[in-house]
Amino acid sequence: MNRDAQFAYVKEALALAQFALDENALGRVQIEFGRIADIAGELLSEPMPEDIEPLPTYRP
Amino acid sequence: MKQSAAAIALLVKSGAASALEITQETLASIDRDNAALNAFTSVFAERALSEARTIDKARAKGRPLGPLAGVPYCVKNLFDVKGETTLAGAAVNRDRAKAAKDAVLVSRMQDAGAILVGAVNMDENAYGFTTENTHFGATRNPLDRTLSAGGSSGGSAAAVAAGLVPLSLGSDTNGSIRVPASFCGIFGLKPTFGRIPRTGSSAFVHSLDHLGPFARSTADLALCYEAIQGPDAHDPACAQRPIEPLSPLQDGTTLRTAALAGYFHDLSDAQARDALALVVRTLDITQSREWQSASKARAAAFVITACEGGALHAEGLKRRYDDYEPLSRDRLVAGSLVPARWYLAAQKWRSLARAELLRLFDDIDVLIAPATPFCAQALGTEWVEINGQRLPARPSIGLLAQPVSSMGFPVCVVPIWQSAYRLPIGIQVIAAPWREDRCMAVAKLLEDAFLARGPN
Repeated sequence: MNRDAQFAYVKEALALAQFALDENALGRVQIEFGRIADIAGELLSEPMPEDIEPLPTYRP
Repeated sequence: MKQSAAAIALLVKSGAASALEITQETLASIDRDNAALNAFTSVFAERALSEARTIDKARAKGRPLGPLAGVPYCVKNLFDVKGETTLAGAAVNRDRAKAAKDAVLVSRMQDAGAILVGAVNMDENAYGFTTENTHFGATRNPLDRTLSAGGSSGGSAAAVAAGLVPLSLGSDTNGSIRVPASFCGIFGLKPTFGRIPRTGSSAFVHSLDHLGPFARSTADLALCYEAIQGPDAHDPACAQRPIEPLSPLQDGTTLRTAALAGYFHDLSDAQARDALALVVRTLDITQSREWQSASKARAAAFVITACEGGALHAEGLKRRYDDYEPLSRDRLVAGSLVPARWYLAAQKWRSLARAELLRLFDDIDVLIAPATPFCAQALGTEWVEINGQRLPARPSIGLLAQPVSSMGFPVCVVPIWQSAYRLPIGIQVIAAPWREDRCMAVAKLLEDAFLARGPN
């Protein structure tokens, strides 16, 4: 997802979730989303074996 | 009140001092010193005096007293305290109903004879590393009040470092015990994920939240840890393991110890590297290990935190965005929008990174690494430089702590004081899951070598 696509995604996703933010707040959220996307990119860019199970939220 | 918890308990048990006297002295110290530090957000004088009288009455009747008899302590304000509002650092929680009962750890501390004197400041919803709380003010570092105490358990660390209490409890999702321990120059223990029940504390990130103690010495840290551990059926993440006592702390000289290189070296500044080198020389460590997935583990922690934290607070943010902390609300909103695929990739990388870290313990008992890339920074610092890299200050504080906690391994932070530097910095002593005894044994070695200590 490039930056423009990320910004558009954030705008649409906020509307779907019924978040009402002013333009300044929207801009800040878009920047924060971009930071998360950059860091997630490190995780998404490398192939990983398909049989890896995600670590569960709760562990016994 | 710079007496140790162990010394106070001894005084109270022997009758050389009453719990009431100790409590009154503690409350007077808080009254005198807190305004300059802004560590306490609530002081529970009535409750504390009542608990102290109960201890004194029990002693007068010849009843056995707990290991923490008469020892004052405080809790991060995300712990439930009966009859008080649990703030979790958030102004939006001011109108919450008061807690109907104590958090499990508060009950356990009471059972051990400790006296709860108050609740302390934190980053809102535990999302931050500096305890710069817009609504409740910043907590100041007792070593230098222009500096951050670290976060998010900044109030817990500052209260102990200032000598207001010998013990405190905090939480650590991404480094929130280890960072303030490093910045304030005290000991902190982040136990194995699942060791300590979280029942009755406000959640932030269910996958990563831990609770643990702060103290000025390893002996006090061990005393507090022993009082709070044990199974609890109401926290589904809590392992149903029996209590595994630490005392007496084992001899750390027999443990095989290695320094973490690579990622941890690259993201440490000169002081952090010097502190690690000093520990390596003192313990005569000859081995190092590289954890290849450390950066992935940190990235996973970052994504999971934003996503789970964002989901937890999404409804609240929709209703009262303006009342949330400006330093974290936009990342929480953004986190609530993270695609599931990113979140699952993060949890998968966590699986891989955890397996790799576990393998490092095949022939090593303890790993060491700096707890923070640098020592305490001035309040309001926006940017830092680490080895030529300019990075945003607040999120970068957790770069070395996040990879380890996202794996759930136990860590003791040990404050290292070096003559060439004005401020201390923490070293993480990391062991395999459920081996807090090994972390503590190495921490004690460093304390015995006069490298590690609480502030004078």
